Amino acid sequence: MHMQMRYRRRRASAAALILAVTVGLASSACSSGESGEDSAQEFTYWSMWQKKEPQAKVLAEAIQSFEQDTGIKVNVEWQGRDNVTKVLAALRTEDVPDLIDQQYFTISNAIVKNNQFTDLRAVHDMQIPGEGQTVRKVIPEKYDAFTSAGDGAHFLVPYEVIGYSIWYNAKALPEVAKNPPKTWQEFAGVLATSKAAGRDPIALDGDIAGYAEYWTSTALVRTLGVGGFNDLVSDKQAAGWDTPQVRTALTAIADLAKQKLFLPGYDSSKFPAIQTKWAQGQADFLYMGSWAPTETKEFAGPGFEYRSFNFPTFGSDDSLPASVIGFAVPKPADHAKAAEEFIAYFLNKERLSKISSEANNLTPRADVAVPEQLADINALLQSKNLSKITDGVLGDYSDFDKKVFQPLNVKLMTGKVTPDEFIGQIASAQRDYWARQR
Amino acid sequence: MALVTRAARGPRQGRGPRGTTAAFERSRRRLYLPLVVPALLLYLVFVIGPTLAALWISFHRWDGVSEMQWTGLGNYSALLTDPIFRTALVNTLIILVVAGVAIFVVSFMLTMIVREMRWRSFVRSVLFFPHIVSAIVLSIVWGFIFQHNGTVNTILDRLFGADPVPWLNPDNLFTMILVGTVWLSTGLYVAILMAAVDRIPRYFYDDALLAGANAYQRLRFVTLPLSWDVISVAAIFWTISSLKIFEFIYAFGGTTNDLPPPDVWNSALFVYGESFGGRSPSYLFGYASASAILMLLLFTVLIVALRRLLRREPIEF
Repeated sequence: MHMQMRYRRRRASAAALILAVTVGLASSACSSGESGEDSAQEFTYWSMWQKKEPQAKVLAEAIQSFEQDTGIKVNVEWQGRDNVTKVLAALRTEDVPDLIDQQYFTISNAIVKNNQFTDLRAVHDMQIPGEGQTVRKVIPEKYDAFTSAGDGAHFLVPYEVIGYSIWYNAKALPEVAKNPPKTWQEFAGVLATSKAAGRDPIALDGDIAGYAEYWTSTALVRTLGVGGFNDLVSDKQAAGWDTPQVRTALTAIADLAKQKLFLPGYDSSKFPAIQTKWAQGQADFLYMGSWAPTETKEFAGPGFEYRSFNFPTFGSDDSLPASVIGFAVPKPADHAKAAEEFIAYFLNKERLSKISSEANNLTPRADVAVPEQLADINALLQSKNLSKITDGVLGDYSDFDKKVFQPLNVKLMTGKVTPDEFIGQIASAQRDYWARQR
Repeated sequence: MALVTRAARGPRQGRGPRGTTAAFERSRRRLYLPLVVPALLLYLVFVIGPTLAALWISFHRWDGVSEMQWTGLGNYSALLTDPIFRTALVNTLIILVVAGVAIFVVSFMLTMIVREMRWRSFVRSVLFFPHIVSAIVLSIVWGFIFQHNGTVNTILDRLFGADPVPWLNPDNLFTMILVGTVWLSTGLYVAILMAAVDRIPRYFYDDALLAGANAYQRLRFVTLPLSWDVISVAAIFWTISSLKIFEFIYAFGGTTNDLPPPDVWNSALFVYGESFGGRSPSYLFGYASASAILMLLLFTVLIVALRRLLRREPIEF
């Protein structure tokens, strides 16, 4: 009898131990965050950069001086590009960072549609420490299209800008440098000359469907105007595809494949094989974001002179496809004010210019000098209207984009479908897609 | 099965003095709960719980943060008309069946060949090697080997002056993934099958040889029947692991930031592609969960059917 009792007691204590361990495990996994004290003497920043990246070094330097100047401690985590995905998971816990950064559409996708962002309009009116002018004065309004969440609210304050242009080596192509093509017709002429001279005109890493999409989406923006491609995709009836403007753009892109203007292997290589070959002089042109020089420099031939021109026009539209990277503050952040202070602090000319001078990228401030290799794209950035890269489709309709548009576009750009087949297939796939979303 | 149950019941009808058996039995039962409960709790928290949560989420439209919107079976009916899901489903089944058959055929052939080799333990290790190395590393190596001017095309060019074969273009990519999967997994099944075959006493083969049996007949009448239980377990094991194949396709077909083209997605990539994957993730957690639940159901049916199909009376030897 007493043996049974002992057994029960032991069983009970064993069960209690197990329960305690399990609960302990579960709770320690959830509650590593701060308890949400009100003191703004610190804030947490989940960065999109990894510690070794040049942008991280620039930011780390600014964080250090910010801590010295203000006494506010910055708990920075160099998380890398999936920081926003982690924020999405964190939003269901207490452990939400006060400051995050990413490309505008990544942030808008994760926290704007569901209203989990802090309106940063107030930051526009903040003084930039050490300058005597407001943030609004140095961030031109042309970037508002990227950062606004409707109703005048802003979910983002940009600190880096990406422009997309057609890159070439001016040393190898002095004629192009002297007179860069402006219209598609002129561009087609340049490509034909290059082909006739036995060279391969265009480099494209076709295994990245998003890079192939740059070509077609920009061509569509050229013929339909800014926002035209976005409207096409958002239409549940998919009515807009069968028009002369769309046909003109698609035919121009399909002809690139038809006339074999891409460097052979563009459809069957692993990134970055093709852009590396471009840097080594095996192809003439590369349509890419303003990170192209930094990414290809170590492979570039001696004396490679980075120049670039805007995607050629079909009619009146000559907007520059662009994107911005900036700071955002999740809505449940405990230390939003401290984070906002840092945003204004970082936009100081001297600090921000290191994004340009040390990390070799563009900034939204027009008064920051840029590295020589970015001079062309910077001139475009200052002088042209901006359009969102892929006309915003990648961000606004990401699921449609990767499942329907991108695969079909790769077929168009590898000569597997004609423009007419493309139009027929995308219109029906788009109607089906929207019908499933009800 | 019957044998096992009888063995488990053994002590109760044991031959020894009744008292000792009962005490032994009691202490065994006493240990039962403390040993089972921790694993069970962890399993509940990390497997059963999330699965039930996925089932619940699958009836909703949910971006991961906002309130869930009830859609009933809406996600399921949308999935059945989604061409990309159908592709992912077909790809998953092709991997299961085509790659599965290839793995078992190749494994048997290698087992038969290696069994009679001199340095067989060395050969076995070499064959096992691809299974140890991370699939991601191998997929990157494969990318280099098979891309436009990769090793294979260079060799073909040197030997035959052949034009480069576009191994990795969208038309061939899935075939390459199948071949890669077979290559990655074969070593493991060779190791498992060889362990089973090694167990078979030599004299069965000697006898078969004396009776004039050729290689195929030795396989058919000696090896297969005497290693059947291992084969059937290995088949179930392959079925389950084929459903979970992810990183090889992801790393071989995609890049650091980008998913592979949807034409080569299997069900695991579909779940990832509709939730967290890509430069601009879709965050369709209800939809992704529904697809995972459908695949879970399908594979449960497949595994039950397979177990029935492969059931044989074990042969004692």
